[in-house]
Amino acid sequence: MFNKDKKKLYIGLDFSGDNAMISFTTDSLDNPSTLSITPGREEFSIPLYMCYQKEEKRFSYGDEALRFSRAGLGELYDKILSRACKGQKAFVDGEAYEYTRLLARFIKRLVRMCETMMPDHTAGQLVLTVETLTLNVIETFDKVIELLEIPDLRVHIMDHRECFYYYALSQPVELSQNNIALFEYENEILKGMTLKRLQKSYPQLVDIEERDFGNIAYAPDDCFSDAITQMFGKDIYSAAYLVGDGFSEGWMKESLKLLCRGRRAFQGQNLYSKGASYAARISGGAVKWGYVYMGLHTMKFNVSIKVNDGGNTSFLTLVSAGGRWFESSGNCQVILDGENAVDFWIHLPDRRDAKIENFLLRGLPERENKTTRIDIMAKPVSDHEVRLIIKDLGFGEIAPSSGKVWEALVSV
Amino acid sequence: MSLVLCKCRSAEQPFYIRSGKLNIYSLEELLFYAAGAVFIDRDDFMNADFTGWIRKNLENAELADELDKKLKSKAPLVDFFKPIEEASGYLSEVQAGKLNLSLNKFDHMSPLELGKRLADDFLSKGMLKKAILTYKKLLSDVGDTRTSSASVVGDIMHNQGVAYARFFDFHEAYNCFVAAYRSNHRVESLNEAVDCAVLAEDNSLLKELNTLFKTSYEHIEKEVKRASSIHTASLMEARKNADQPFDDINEKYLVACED
Repeated sequence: MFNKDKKKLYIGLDFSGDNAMISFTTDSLDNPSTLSITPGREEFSIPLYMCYQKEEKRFSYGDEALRFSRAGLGELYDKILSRACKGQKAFVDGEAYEYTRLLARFIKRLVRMCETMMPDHTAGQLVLTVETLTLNVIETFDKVIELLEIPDLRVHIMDHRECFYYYALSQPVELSQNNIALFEYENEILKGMTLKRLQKSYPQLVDIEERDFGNIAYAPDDCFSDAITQMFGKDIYSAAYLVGDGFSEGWMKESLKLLCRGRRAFQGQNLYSKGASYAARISGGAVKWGYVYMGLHTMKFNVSIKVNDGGNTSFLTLVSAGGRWFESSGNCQVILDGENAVDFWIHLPDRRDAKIENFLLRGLPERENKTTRIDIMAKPVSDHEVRLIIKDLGFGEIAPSSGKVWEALVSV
Repeated sequence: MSLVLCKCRSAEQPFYIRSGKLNIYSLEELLFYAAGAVFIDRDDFMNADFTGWIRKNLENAELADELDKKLKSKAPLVDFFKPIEEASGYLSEVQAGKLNLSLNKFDHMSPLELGKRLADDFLSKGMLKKAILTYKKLLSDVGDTRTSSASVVGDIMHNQGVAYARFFDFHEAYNCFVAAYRSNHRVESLNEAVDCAVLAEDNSLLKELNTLFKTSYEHIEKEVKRASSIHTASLMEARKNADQPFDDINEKYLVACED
């Protein structure tokens, strides 16, 4: 049970390749901590392995799972996330077990470990992050979230870009007042990201540009120097962050000098999980946040309806621009007063005017006025399209429902 | 075109309004019913069952608490309904005003008038047997007619006559209209008595009318001529429209006065 007396824990869980990394913070901690599986050492990566020990009827996780499996004490389950995304099933103790269930157990275990680290805290917000969010990943995480069954835990999903945005803008002002760079070097491929913000607006609009510098393994120092020159140009950068195993091989010489000229540079492995942890704290409303990130998965427009709310006319926003589209569904119930139609107001955040989509409820039975209750669901299917679903609920015994459902897709 | 925002959920399990013979699933349905009802029975709503339904099925503890307080303080019906109107926002200001006026009226009605409302409601819904039984019960409860309620008693008898006439029991209807005229002295009751005598094709009834109400002889004769000139079938058809219970007449009168 969620204990209201306990303080909230904000957790970020990063899935990179076949490993997970988990960071957590609280309302009082300045910086997130990352869970190390080996106490006293900075071993943050947790392999996505699980092992079921039949005799003890329990699961083990990460490296421990690998050890138990190698010792012949149980069956090993690997690549849990990718298998869950493919909808695969495993056999656990002779029973078919979906990988989504295994993934949910894995996540739950990590969340509980964070709670153990902070005994007077309970998990309040969790952010799951992967490099790229596809519809398949989103749907898999949605299933996993349903299986988590942790009371009062709110879960969000975001990509690495967004975690970078939360991480970079949570740093002290001297590290975030100008452009911010991130380089990721993994599997011999170098990628770069530049975070820019429109400082004159409030909230400040943030944009992230991404570049792919390709394989640089043949001359990493030279290639990285070129990449820095290309990306920075004449712009001012306050900070640069280096992530990925490729940077840990000690080849940076000239490129490092170039990188640190006029700015501070940081190298680490847990930027995304820490960024996710910051994002969890900000999503929980614990921090005043003056930025809006218009990323790939950011909903691009608002969908509203005009309602009579206890005698006052007001706009009810069903889908808000600025949120992650797959988390932006809105639902309400209204009673038709007058025409059998609903007007949807489609509004871009940077425009004053709105487009009005009139939705006629054809085939609705004739009824007395104000005896038709309808359910309106606005569900984004991408960052620029929203599916509208209207159901006739009728009016109890006074006007039974026709069971009719109307659907439409709106976009800008 | 307007959309009224539903601020409260619909219940899975309905609440049964006994006097209205209706299941309701939401506050909006309740207010729609109340706004159109001829009669609101306090006992239907002003009890722990109703507030419990709001608490459990509508999951609105705040409203249920407020209504429980009203129950404890034995608040009038109009005060009991106000938090419901506010919580729902379903009725417009004008509609809520009209409902409150009706509720206020119900609050100030005597038990006899309230009982008549209930019976009239049955009559208007075509539940004739139930209407007749309720009228009979009301009249037996009244016992000796007091001067102050003579008019109401007369109206009850009149409406009982309407119910019998709709059953084509013109003799019984005649008796009711005659008794009604004695109490309320309304010419409509006398006219209905004449019509029933004609429809019953019983001259002894017409003679009886002339004997009973000598002073109204000319009026009775005129009415007999009118009724007799119409073919019986047409008269029965005409009766359907003519048989307006007295409460409707009263309502029209009240509205005109308020205007």
